[in-house]
Amino acid sequence: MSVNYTTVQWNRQKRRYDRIMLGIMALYLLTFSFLQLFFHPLISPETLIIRATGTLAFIMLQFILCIGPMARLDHRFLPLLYNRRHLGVTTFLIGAVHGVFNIIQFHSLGYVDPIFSVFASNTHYTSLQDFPFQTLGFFALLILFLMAATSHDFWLKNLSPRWWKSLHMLVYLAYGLLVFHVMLGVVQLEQSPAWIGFVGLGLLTLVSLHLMAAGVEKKRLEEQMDKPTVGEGFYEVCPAEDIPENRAKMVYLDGQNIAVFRYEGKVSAVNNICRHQHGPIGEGKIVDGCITCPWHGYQYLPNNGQSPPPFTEKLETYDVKIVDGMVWVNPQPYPEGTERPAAIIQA
Amino acid sequence: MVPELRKRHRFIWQIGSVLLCLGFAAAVWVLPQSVTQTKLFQKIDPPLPRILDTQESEEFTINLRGDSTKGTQLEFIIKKPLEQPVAQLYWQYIFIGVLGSKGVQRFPISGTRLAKAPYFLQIVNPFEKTGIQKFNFNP
Repeated sequence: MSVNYTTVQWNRQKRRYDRIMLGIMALYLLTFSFLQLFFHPLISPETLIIRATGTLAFIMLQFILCIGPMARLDHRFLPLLYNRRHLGVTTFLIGAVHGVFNIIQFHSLGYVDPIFSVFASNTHYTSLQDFPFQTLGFFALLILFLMAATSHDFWLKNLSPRWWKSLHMLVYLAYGLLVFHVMLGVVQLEQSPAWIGFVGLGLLTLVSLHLMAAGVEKKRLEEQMDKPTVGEGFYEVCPAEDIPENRAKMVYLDGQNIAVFRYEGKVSAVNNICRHQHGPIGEGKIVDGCITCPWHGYQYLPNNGQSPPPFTEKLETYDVKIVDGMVWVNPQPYPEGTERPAAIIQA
Repeated sequence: MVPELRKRHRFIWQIGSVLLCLGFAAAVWVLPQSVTQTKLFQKIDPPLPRILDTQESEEFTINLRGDSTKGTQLEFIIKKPLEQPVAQLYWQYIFIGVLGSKGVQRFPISGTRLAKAPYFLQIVNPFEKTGIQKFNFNP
């Protein structure tokens, strides 16, 4: 989080994240190139680049899409979520190398415009087997470009989180296009079981993870829907001891998405939606006295929902009380940044 | 993530998983059946034991082989392919076969064409109707 827009807000974690990412990418490219040269010694440098970058970009996108559900299913994966934007922009760059080399190699030596040639060189649009698969890759790359170009917080602020998130959810469409780009392209040409297995296994993993995460989330919400009430509009949440220190319990009460944090022998409740990218505040933890969003590190004070100065983001707060060791929350929200007394956990 | 967004995610993946799996299966279904190719090999006669005469060129070693009971054969050991796409062989002006691009080839020579040495072998380009190389055998 920052009071100004800077190109990249570098910190120790981001540098470490990027170093590991670049190291793994370099290792993959070297291994892939070595294997290609071993099995296809006459391969041209252009073809080698096209194959290496195409497979790498597809694997990276697959991995990126797995991060969200993995982090929801197991919080140990949250560090992967932290700098996912750099991973996404890098995926676009790798995919762009693949696309540009393809257009140069297969479409730039004719009499027509290379981009026009992508769409017109094969016109079997009604055939599944001979479908012009390169067009699918083209549109997927276009979506990745839009996402990379608007990945900065400047665009998040100006497009609004709602529109920004909707735009970035096009990544699922891009993934679908790429699955068919591979299945109707290289798989039809080479008919290799290895390619089919590679795409099929990735698809199965991704779909399973997303459906599992959605199921877990739905179950959690349903469990919270029928909480018994007690006087003054309070809802029972859980025993205070069930909330780990500096962590939260997330509840959905009367249409309010609430994160109930336990810290320093107290319990406070704030709205569970980060003002940055609508990240799940309750999946984060309290660091240096501040609730820290697991997605991009935006911070809020637990007792009033305000970001520490000079930052201006604020969350709604809620009344909390503890009766016989049980935490109760009133889902009637106070205006953003309103200070509410924390409930004290009796020893 | 706001509940509305979660709901959109869930909807996208429920619909998407069905569409993606169906599309994946369809793409596998339409895979072209691999064509089984039976490679055609020219059957090569075994070499006859005696070499009656040998001629050399840059491209070939040509042996005239013979045996008292099995007759005579012309053996081509191709060292380097010819530049011409097709090369026909004429023994004493009679067509005996077509030369390949590599390996060893043997052509039987019938007794009637061995009546009187020396024998004349010509390699011809049938498209241009020109002789490529000529050899004389005098066993």
